[in-house]
Amino acid sequence: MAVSWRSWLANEGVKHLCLFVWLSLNVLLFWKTFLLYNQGQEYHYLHQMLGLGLCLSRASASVLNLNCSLILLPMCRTLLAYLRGSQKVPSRRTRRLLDKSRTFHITCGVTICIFSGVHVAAHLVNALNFSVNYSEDFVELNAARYRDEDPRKLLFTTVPGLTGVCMVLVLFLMITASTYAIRVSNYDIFWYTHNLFFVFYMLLMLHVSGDDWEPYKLRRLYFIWVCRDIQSFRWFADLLCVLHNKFWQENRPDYVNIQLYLSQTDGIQKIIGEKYQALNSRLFIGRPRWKLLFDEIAKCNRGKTVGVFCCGPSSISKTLHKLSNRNNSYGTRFEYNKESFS
Amino acid sequence: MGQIEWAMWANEQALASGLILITGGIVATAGQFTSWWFGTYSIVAGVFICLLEYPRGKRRKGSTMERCGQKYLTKVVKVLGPLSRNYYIRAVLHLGLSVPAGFLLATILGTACLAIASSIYLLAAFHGEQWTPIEPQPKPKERPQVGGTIKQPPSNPPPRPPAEARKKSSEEEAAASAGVSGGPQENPVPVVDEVV
Repeated sequence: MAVSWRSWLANEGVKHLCLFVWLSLNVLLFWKTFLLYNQGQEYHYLHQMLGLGLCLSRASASVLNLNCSLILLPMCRTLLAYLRGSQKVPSRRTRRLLDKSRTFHITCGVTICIFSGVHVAAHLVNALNFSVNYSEDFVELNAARYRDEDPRKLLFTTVPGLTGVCMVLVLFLMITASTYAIRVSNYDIFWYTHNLFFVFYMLLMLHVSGDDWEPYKLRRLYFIWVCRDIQSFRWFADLLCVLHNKFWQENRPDYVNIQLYLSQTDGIQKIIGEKYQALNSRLFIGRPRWKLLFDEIAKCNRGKTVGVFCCGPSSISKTLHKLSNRNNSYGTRFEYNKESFS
Repeated sequence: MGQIEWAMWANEQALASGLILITGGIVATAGQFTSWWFGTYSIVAGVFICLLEYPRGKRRKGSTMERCGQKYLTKVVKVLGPLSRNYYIRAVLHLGLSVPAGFLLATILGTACLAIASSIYLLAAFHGEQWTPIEPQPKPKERPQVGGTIKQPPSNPPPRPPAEARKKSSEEEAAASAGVSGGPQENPVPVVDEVV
């Protein structure tokens, strides 16, 4: 039967156009993300460790992101009914397109299944590589904690790992209950399992927020400690000296920048002991001048993100919080974090 | 949830788990990761499970959609008798098969999925379900001749008057005449049974 092009265009044209747009978006997203992790400077070391697995897992993750966002829209039946019945959607062509909403939902669903498979496989290989290629030089980059850590432990004891496993199981239940045979014979099973999508999205939120392999690329730690009494410093004086010596041995003397401040000026002003020489030369009398400190740190770390971690009374915290939000001329960003034990 | 047939869902799950096991097994064996022989086991177990689960069982009520070409495997699975019919046995079997695959990262998801399938089979067994093979339907031996059973024209063909008119007219006819076959339809031409 010969196809009438006019009929074909009227019946299939817009639908195929939308499908083409959606497909192009997916391909573009996959390609861009793949290239970013394959060639990006900031991922160079991670790429050395993980190889193709990094690129595949991230690229498939961005495709998954897109489709998980889109898949709920065609199922907003009230919204669709409103659009269909209103003056906002005048043309018959658009109305016919809205009829295809369930098909689009299924298309996104199948895409999610396929790319979840790719994502999971790539991450399993990543977990293996993290464990095997563990290097002391890149402790911060590695999700594993030591060489040859059992990759199954990585899977089950990290937030992204555990949420990922649970999501795969939820997806498994949903997919097996969505086949045509089940829908036709036992619609209840399909309906109840499909409502697990809510659980899936909750897990997805956790999965993405816990998936942070490079929180702050630690290049230098500024350790500022303010005490009233000189004796208080003895709590951790030995530990600080050990750290200081360690970094000297490793030829990274400026990795930790220690500054001790003695806020009360009466009484002894030096930590007694020959071995605390390093700390005494880093001891300042009086309170720290936070503004100057922030300016100096901003100047030395232009355009970077600096994490500020405060543990102390609320007066210091307020000052640091305000300074973290303040503008500086070096483009440095300060992220403020606070923890208190009183 | 009265009439849900759990076995059908368990069957889909087991089939999917088999495929997951095969895939994970291929990855593990090809990548030659540590303890890759678990991957080989996974492939073998996966193939066995797929073959066992491919023929769908017959539903209690209504017709069942057969999987493409399942009748050949149905014959084989039928031979196993109670081993394939009883869902308690299947539940235990799947649970047992899933354990070795749990030792390898590449196949551990297959373990989890197969374990879930096993538990749904257990649920099905509790509900007294069992696997019945779908037998091929025998073709009816005799085809009745076309038109062979038609002796008289339809007694009340459309266009039909509404129900009250039919009742009234049938009362009149019963009072007026006797022995006219059928309803109010009066055939203008006498009807003769002609066999063509």
